[in-house]
Amino acid sequence: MEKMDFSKFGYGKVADHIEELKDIVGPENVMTAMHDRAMRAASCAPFPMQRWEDHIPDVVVLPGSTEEVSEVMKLANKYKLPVVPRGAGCGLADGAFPLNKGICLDMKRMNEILEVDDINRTVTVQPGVNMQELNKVLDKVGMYYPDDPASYGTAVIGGRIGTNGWSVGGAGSGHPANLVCSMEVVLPTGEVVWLGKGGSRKCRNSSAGYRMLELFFGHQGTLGVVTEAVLDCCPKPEVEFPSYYGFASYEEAYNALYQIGISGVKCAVNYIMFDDEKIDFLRRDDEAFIPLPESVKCVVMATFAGTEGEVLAARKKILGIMKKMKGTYLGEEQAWGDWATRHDRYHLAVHCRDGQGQVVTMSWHCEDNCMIHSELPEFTHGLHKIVKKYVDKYDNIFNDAGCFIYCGGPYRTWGDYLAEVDVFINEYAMTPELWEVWLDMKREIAELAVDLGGSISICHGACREGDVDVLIEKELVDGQFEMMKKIKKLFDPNNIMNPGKYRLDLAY
Amino acid sequence: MEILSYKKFYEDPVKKGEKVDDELSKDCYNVFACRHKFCREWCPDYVEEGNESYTSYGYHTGLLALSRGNGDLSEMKNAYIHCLECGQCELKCPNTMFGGDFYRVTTTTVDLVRKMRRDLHAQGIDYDGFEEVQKTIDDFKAHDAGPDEDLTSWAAGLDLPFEGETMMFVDYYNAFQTREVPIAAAKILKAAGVKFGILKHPHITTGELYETDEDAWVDAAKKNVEALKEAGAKTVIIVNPHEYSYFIKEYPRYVGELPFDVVFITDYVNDLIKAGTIKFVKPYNKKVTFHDPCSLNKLCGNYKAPREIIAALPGTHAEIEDPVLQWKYCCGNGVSSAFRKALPDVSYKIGVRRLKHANDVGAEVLLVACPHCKDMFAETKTKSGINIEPVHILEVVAYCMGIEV
Amino acid sequence: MAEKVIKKSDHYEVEPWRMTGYIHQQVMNDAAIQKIMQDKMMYLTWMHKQEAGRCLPGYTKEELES
Repeated sequence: MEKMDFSKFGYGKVADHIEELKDIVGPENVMTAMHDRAMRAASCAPFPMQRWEDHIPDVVVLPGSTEEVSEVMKLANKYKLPVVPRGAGCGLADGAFPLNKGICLDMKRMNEILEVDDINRTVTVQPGVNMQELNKVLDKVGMYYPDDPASYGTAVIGGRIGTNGWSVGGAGSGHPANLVCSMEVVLPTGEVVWLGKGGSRKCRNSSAGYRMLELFFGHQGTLGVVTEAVLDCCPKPEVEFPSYYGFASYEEAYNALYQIGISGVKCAVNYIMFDDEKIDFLRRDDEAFIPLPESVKCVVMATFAGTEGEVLAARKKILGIMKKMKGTYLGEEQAWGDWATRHDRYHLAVHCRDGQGQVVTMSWHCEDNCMIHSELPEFTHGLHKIVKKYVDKYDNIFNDAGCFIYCGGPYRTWGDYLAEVDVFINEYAMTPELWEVWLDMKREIAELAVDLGGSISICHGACREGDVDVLIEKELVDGQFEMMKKIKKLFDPNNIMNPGKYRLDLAY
Repeated sequence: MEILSYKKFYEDPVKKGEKVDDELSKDCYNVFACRHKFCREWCPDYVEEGNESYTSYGYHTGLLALSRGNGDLSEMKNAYIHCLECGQCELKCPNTMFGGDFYRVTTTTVDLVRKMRRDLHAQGIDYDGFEEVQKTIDDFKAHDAGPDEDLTSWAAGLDLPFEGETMMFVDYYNAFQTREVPIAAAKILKAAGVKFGILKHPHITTGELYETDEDAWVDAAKKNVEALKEAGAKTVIIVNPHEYSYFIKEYPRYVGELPFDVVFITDYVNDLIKAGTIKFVKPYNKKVTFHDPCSLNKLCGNYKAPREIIAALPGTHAEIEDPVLQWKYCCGNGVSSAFRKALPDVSYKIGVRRLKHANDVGAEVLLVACPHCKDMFAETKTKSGINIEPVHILEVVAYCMGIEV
Repeated sequence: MAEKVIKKSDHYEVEPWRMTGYIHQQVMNDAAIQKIMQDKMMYLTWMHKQEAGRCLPGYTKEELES
């Protein structure tokens, strides 16, 4: 694949247009100081600290309205200035990671909740609203926005759309792509459009026209900027019930995952399998797992939420299946604690060890391959084989934190799974050579996913270095990448919107 | 009761043109490596400004970037002033909450911010608005250098001795700005039959000094501890939660284990109520809510006594928000009042939001347990016209006891 | 990697030797550890309240053995 060459786009100098940016958003909302820019270079994906300066945006702009965003885009097009939208910057595929510096459009000042409609069960928000904060407000009227990723406490609505995020509650309540009724988007040319199910703001379904709304899920900031969204809310569950079961082998856990998945229970929040390496990893320092008996090699979690009647029925039925499948219930305390901490504790830097057993701090990277059930064992075993190779060869640079296997698709507990291997990477010790090694690991993982009939990414995006080459050369070879390029060029004739992301520079 | 959690390597100053110490750099990496920013949405400054530069993540990452050659200390003069030092981010950070008890390593943002303000000031890199803060420091220093009688003039007519096994420590802010608070405290204790003394010459404790001239602040700290010991203190009751947090979290770093027990006034008063030595004779027929002081709830994990006191008040209807929800709240003053002095507009907005929350739960009175909160809310209420009355919890206790304050 | 951990009366801790090479433990006393545990329990309790009306209790001995 040809190397990225931004020179052919004739970009202007951002530094020449700071005053104009200040005129649009106000001088207090334009930041040029190095530390303000440098701390917005990274997303949550592993960051090449060894070349930090290459990814520092030229300026940070905090718009406060759709009009301001539109004016910034018009200015950017006029002078050919790259624009990289930024939500929480907690995406794991580098959507917000500038590849050619430019204007960092930090959307988080637009964080108002505009309307709560408890009759039609929608909430209208600006893109900088975070789900946990939104739910504090919705709680007052018994509504709940069920988008619940690991980044629940930090992600914002615009980013959830940009990444086509996945929610642990998705198997029950849908993922962001199922939860947005309509949204306002500023296109790269500055034009403002409303995309919905047809022209309705609040309808959940429509056959009026092309499904343009869905196009923007996973666009990674390459097709425009979301400036408002109408979200679908569910009733706050009456009760919840988390339960964790220990298994003596991967095989047994995997079979149990299948059986509960096709049991017909409809109030599952999710079923999650923790493989051998994940349990080993958690036993290091996780008080929910340290005291588990040696005989527990893998764990399967089943959590339900809904009305008391349906949860009680599910609770009974799943216990019956788990007993048949030789699962051992791990207790109420463990379930209560582990479920409530599901967002917070897996990614701590101090979880890592070097070859001598010393604690070293590394950054958590979560692969997010999508895999069909039949290939899960070969896939996850294959993942560990790949990662182990690199962990063993490069001491103190990588750690294998095991696999989680979650129900992948919306409203269903069978079929496909988010089969995630968690790899820690020592960015602090990163060098150009080691970064290439890291990319080799990523490529191997991506290729394995595609070879086995899955997808490189279920929810982060496949636009990162290492992933994107495999995406273009292997996964989207049946015409999808060609279509993406055409659409990109149509929407963004000057390639100012997050240039280089997804290698869509190849469209020009 | 001492809560010790700090990093010794923070003592090495960050200097212009010099490499950032490797241990400090790795400390910043520990926050950067996470990048999940659970600190962000609950930061009262972020809630108003929407600017992630001013979050725990921003403070740590800016410094990490500097350590990798991206940045200049002289450009960072305003980088650390947007922090209220409320402690939300460092307690909520998963490094602390889920790893701190296992690894004995936590995120220490408040210390980092204080350190950076100190280090920047030492090189003449002061934030915009620093002159106001310097004036406050100078005023307080003048009190410390002034006559003893001024420092205890708030206690005129109360006949309090300058010694005792139980001593009440009254800081300068209470002594000069919000004297009704220590007066209420003293009258409550007297009416309950508690024998206690006050210091003849308490020394400066203000946080603004701590983050500009650590040596001077520590010097005063040592003098305070010595003076209390000399006065015979076995128990020291503190009336300002800021000072309470300094006594139990910072003082021991410099003086070692304190030679007396330290109790915050609400814990002490609550114990008296439970023991029956405080008796209520008048009802306080108001709908109230309570604002957890940041320094008490977030910095010290202390939130129970005020709620128990309020529950014991006759005639009062209380609707008090969960202390967890209150991790996100602040009056806007800041634990170091530098925030209020340098950023009065943001301070005001934060206070307005908190008063509106109080309105939302249907309260007519917002009870506080901190003189800074009281002063800040009074100013915000007047300026905004929001219909809610900020009242110090001790004033209500005194009222219900039939004491004239 | 099977690791030994230190079991305190109400929590676990890492073996201190693991914190001598790359990263070091800070000065902390038991009250600081207790505060962390208190904050954690408060937060987890609040998390459960936020996402559902209530959390059903775990299975009873009878349910598990039947």
